[in-house]
Amino acid sequence: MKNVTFTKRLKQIVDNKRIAVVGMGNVDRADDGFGIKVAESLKLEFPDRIFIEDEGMEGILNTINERKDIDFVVFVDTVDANEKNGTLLIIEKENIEDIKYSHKIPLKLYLSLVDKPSCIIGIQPEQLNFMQPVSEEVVDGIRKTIKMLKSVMKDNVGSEEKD
Amino acid sequence: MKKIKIDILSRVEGHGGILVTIDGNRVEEVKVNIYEGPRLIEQLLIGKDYKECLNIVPRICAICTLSHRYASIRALERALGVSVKKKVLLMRDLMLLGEIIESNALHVFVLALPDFFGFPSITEMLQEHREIIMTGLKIKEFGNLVMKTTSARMIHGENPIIGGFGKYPLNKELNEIKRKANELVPMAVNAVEFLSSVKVPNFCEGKEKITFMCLNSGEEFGFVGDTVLISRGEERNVDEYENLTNERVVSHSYAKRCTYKEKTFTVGAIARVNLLGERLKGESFKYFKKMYNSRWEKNPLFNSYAQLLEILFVLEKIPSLIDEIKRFKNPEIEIPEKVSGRATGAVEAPRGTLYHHYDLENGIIIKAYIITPTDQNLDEMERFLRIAAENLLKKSKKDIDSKLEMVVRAYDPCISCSAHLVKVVHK
Repeated sequence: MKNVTFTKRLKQIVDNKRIAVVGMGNVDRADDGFGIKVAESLKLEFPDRIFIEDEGMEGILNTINERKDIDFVVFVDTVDANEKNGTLLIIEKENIEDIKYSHKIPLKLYLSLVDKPSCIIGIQPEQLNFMQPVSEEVVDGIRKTIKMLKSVMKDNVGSEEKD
Repeated sequence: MKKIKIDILSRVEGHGGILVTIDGNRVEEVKVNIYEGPRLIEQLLIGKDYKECLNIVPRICAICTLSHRYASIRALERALGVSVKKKVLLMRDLMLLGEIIESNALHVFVLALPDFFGFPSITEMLQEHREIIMTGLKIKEFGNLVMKTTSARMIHGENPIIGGFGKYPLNKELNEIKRKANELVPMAVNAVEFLSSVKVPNFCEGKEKITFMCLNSGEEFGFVGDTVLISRGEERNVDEYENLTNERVVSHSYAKRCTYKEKTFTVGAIARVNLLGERLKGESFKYFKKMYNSRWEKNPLFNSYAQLLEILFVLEKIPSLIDEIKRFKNPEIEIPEKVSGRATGAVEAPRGTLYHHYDLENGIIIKAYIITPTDQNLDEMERFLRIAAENLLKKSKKDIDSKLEMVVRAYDPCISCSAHLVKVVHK
């Protein structure tokens, strides 16, 4: 997906709502660190609107549901969509097919637990092995996702954060 | 737009499965297999300074991290003759209660409830029962808060150490925990009421009473002790852990198995409530009296009910525990005077009795032995899977896979969230 198209589509979906970003994954497992690395980078600029899975999902979801200044939630995570490695995807809530229990609580469940509109920014990983480096394609995806989310966030919450 | 299926990719913490072989209407074989490779934690400890032990053993499990830490501390302090002040013991109680509530809430509300209501997962259940699931997540979040406050991190906290704590929480942090516990009690009561309205299936109900084991916590219901209570009135010291568990290796699984007097037995919340239920207090005691009956002694599906009663007990207990903690000054860390010794320490982890044993010579670990609750329950799971399969075959083969999964999930094993848990082979 082209960078410009991706950003444009994300802006359309978000529709000027005040967003929060939840970074998910495991930095010890190569490309699975995608969501966490994106969130860690954005947290420096938007500390009140970025959540990282390791902080505890129950608390994150309850906080997001209770906060009146959050209208839209973007989950960032690695997804297996049978795409080329490093492919970035925006997945809207209604387009997630049902998934079975696995070792990790399904993303669809998290989306269901949030009372607010949400979407997923996902990336197709190349490798998920323990203590392996992040692949070049995903490193590139991390960089692009940070840039695009910054752009969207500055448009709809940037001024608010500065006030 | 094309539909995308998302498979969960990471944070794998356990691999397990069930193989049930059926010949006609006869159950030929039942095997619970743990595929996860051995991690050799006990061997890793040999030759290490005992002070390193607490950095290693909690990594056995990210859910029961504090139970492992606490059992290890108890064993090491006994071996080295360390005696700690009352405040330390109360703080350790608090941290363990946090872990019990966090783990029990995860199992009851996220993993087990869909089984009782006939939903394939919590995702589908959310549509009809959103309020109860959100209650569960609030309770789980509270457990996380208690663990973080006492151990300094939500997972693998390093604050509890031999001889005391690295630092103590501020009174305002403790007050916040107390406030939240009080706030959650009515929600937990509603959850108990909600679950008590559900009829527990009898397809895995045995004819004989289950042999239960748990630590004797003294006059009050609790999770720490030096002796083990066994159904029918037996009581043994935790030092006899080898004779209590008789661990053995089986060829079809990486996990060891346990029996007591050549019979399978059950540990965990259902064991604690069966053996210590009369020691519950307040609302949890009221609901224990209301809900408990002789079926709890024969049917593992009541484990979720027992876990929920424990949640209620813990929420009611925490405010008074905090008041007591605040009465004491922060004590100095006790330094061991000995460097050699041997001892066993045990705590009730959320899933059952957890034993740690160490032999130390000149500060070096020369023997380490850890027996986890799931190991103790595996033979019992196979026994009840056979009972369930035989009962189900008499009626209908419909949904047999999901019902057998329900039996295993009832024990809340670390593999309970594995996909494709059951494989049924019809000859």
